[in-house]
Amino acid sequence: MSTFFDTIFFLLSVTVTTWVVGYSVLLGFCGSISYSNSFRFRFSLNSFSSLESFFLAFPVGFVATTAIVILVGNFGVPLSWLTIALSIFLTIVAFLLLALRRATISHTENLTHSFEFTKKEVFLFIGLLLLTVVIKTTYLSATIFPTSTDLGHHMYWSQEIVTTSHLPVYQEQDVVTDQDGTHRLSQPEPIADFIIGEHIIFAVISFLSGTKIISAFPSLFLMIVNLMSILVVVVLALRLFLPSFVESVGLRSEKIALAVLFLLGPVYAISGAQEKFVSGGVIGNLLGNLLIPTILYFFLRALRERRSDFLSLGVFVAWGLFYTHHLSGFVFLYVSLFVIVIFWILSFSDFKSMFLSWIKTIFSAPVMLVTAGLVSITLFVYAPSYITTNAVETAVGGPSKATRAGLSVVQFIHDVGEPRMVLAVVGGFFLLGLLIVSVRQHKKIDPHAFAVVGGWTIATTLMTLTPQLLSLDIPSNRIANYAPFPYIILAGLGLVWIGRTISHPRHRHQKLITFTGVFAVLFLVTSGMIDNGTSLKDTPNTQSALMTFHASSYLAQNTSKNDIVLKDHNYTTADAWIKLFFTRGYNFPLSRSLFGRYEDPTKPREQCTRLMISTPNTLEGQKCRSDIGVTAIMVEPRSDASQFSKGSSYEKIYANDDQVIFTHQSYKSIK
Amino acid sequence: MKYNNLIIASIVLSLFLSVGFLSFVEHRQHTPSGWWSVSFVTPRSDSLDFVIENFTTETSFTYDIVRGQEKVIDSGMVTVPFGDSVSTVVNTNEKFLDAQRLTVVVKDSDGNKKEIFRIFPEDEEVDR
Repeated sequence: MSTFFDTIFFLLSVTVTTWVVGYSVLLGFCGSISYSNSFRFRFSLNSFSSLESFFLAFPVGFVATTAIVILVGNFGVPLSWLTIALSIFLTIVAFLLLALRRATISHTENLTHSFEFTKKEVFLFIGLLLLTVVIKTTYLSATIFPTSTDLGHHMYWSQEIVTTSHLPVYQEQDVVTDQDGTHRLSQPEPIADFIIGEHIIFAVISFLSGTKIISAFPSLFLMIVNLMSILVVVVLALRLFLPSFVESVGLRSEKIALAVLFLLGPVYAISGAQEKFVSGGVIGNLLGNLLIPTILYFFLRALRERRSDFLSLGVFVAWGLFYTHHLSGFVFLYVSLFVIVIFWILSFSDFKSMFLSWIKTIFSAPVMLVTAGLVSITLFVYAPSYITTNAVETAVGGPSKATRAGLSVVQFIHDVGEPRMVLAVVGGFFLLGLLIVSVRQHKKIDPHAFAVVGGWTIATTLMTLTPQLLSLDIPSNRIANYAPFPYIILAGLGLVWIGRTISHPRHRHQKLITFTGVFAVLFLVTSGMIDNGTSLKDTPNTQSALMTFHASSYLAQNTSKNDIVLKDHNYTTADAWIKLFFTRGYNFPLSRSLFGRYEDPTKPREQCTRLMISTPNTLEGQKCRSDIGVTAIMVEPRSDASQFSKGSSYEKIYANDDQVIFTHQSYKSIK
Repeated sequence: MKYNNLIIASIVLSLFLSVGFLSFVEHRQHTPSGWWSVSFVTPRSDSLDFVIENFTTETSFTYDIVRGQEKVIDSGMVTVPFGDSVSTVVNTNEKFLDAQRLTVVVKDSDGNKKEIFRIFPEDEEVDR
């Protein structure tokens, strides 16, 4: 029964912190609330279809909640369920009042094009959605238990927020050796790899729902993020290929959106930056894949429709992106650059007049106010940790290693998915053909869609294949995770065009197109489903992780702040989660790392954490332990117990099947 | 427009069912079973009192207090129900005096063994 209530509270807290907050922000920026004499309120958000408002409220709400907590936390207010709930409530009220005010000053809301799925299309949409959820749920059922190393590292910071009621300071201590050979723990050094936006939302959900961080809920939230990012790309595709753009060539926006859902949802649902990232806890990338399409959506509409409210929202979400994941922010900057360049090329003759009309939107009061407010927060309240650690400098300057020199074309195609790439090429040629025909016939083209799709595709492709051209120094396989989305949008277009051509046999290469289309779809479905099938995992042995947690809990209860604890990464399941039981620092307990890392000539490393476990009775091992002050060591018994059991320096105070705890004699003299 | 609401409703329902199912799966996986642990009640002292926490269906445990490498100086039986933890007080006597190493060896009814031990260095006077 408690699982049922935990689930309900979890879903309620996610709903409030994302959808409810997000919806109120959308209302405040773009909508209005009117009321009649009988106190009946009417919420109007005519700038979006109901699908768009539902899909977009999630990422907007995520950014808003993160911003709220950053402000509250940095103004010295201890974070608790009460302060967070109150802050969220006041924020919602503030945006609703803004929407109410807009209705009272005779606001005429721009009615937007409303997308209409036919009945068949709706059932196809729902069918694809359910299939996607089923596949992802099946995969996650074997990986939902919290054991992932990356997720454990991230959740430490969320746990720290919950435990200390304050925002974390991203720093760590390491074992260092002084000139005289003395080993010690260093002073805390800043870490650039963690950014506040990756951790706040999990702490907030824990505060509001009461669910523990060491549970399924972090992975569950990431699964929701992944699903919503797919749906945001679908509405982006709807807006990119407006009826005015595609109906002239016999295509429907809704069909393209369905095709995108098909290509992004059930096929290749697990590999790449999808469910594997959910179970692996690659939080930044997943949130980046949610926020980048959201920003592109708002900027697309802002510039196409000259709407300052959309531009404000785009700026707001972009600000949130930079507080969430530096790499995603970096990718977004390059994408923006290429979008602008392509837009300029496509609208060369009109660019000046277009730019002048944009000036009014860009320098409008709402945009200036929002930008000023957000910049003020960055300058005077809280800046992302990677800015203060100069992490940006390490990402530019050209590839410094082979793994940053770009992927091969074959690897890239494999990452996107071969059949998706085929369809994307078809879609790309179709767009190009459309562009050429329009230019030849002197027809006015809508450069926005071409610029967004083209710029996004080209930017991520060049960043992955030829980073040296863009002076990038980032692991290429990480950049490749950002490439599939624009290719899938193109592939959706290509799939629908092929489908239309097959069903309207007028083309002179009809048979060839039909054969190619059928083959591509069969290939797509087969390879996508095979990929899903081979990615599924057997149910793991979670008992090993439970034994790690049990031992950690015992050790945390029986150590004080004067004890130094050491554990092992090589043979201990879910060891990254051990630190959550202590919350005494990101690197506490100290850890014997992967053996290979101690022998890496390119990155010389301290040896104490290895020696204290592998050879504790040698002079070096003893000196390390004595200098650093390690009093307790947790290891896997079959691999590492014998060296401690032999001597007379250590007692064994705890034992289960997979973990044992040894304490040094000095442990007893510590209070 | 009503079809849009149908899509939204299906998303909400599928998320609810998925989250509910996965929460249930994780709850089952989060239930310890098939192992037991032994530990000292007050690890920072010299006391040999120990606690067995049992997550198996075997409830009968035996223990031996071993002096040195093999001399059994005390033994007993403990019953620990599934999901429970039971502490055992070890009363010391003259057999425990001057021991340099005292090991608590616990076995379940299947013969699985775990041990924890205390070390008493020669020049140290300890109060057991």
